[in-house]
Amino acid sequence: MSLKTRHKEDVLIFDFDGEDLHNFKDELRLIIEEAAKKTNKIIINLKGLENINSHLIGIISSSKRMLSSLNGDLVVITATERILNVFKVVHLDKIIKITASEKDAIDYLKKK
Amino acid sequence: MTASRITGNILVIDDDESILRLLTKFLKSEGHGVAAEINGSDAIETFKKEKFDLVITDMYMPDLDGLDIIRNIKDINQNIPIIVLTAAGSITNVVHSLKLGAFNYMTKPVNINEVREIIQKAFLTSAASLQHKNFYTFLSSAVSVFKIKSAVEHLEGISYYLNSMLAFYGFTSGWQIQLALTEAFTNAVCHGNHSSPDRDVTCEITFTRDEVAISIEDEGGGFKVPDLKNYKLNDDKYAGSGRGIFLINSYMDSVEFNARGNRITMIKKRN
Repeated sequence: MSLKTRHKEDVLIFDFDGEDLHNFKDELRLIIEEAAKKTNKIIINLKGLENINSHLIGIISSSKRMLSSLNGDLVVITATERILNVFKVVHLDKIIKITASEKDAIDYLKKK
Repeated sequence: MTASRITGNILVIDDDESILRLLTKFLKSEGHGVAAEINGSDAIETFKKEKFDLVITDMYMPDLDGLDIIRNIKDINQNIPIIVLTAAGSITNVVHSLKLGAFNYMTKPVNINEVREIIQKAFLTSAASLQHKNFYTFLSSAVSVFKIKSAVEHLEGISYYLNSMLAFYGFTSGWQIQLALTEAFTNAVCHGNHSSPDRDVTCEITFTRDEVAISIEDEGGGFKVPDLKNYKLNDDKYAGSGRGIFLINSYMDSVEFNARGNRITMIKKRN
């Protein structure tokens, strides 16, 4: 799996790609925590991801909590029904904004 | 004498209306039933409602791209052949689409003879696999046991094996079973064996006509067996623990632990 970061205005975007999620382990949490020191608007783009696991769900969930405490927010982009299904099963869709496109994600964060 | 052609229902997805019109006209002239969609989201809804034998999709579209389309359609019907339309030279996405299970690809501008040839190959391949579709009904049981070193990297190998077997035995809920395996294997390696290279994880996978049973055992001291009947996510909506076992319990039909708490057995019935 690869992870790339890029900026769009004041939003930091994490682009995930691939399938072997386990290669990332806890460094991902540190990367996001470090990034949150510079911006409080983050997009987690999962469009390139084949699957999701409980570890990544935990990281997204704790990142959301951290950004909320900084008056910021986090949006997840995914268009894969299997990932949406997992988000629904763990009720993450109720606390995290999920969009199908980057444009919708940025529009949502701009209103924050 | 010309060989008879196989015809079927084809879903064509492209945000370029001129290509959509061209393909629709040609495919109808060849005797196929055609549904044309200009965006990916509508195409997925159409695919859910109607029965198709083949999908042709553009790679680059504004809402869902070709890779999104393949992932979503393969989750609904793993066996449907998908042909990807792409610009010449975009080899990375072609490779990606084939890895996701696309049957073949065609480069733009489309060549009508190539379209005809690839569609016929797709239908012939489908017909051949349909002949063996019900072979699993002869299965009594197939048991595979792997003793794997404690490293999460080995998850890819066992996942690949399971995925191939699920496809061979005609299981349609493959991704849910894969997710359960991922969670149980990672738990055994990281929490059961504490990633010790001296400890193994034993994976036993049993296929029968009606179900697949996956048993994962680590060599650790075991855990307190959770009460699955009353198992819920922590009330704290941000809490991180327990999601793995919650996911396994949500997606598998039956989950049991041994008394020591170092072996989980998960069963999924055939849909």
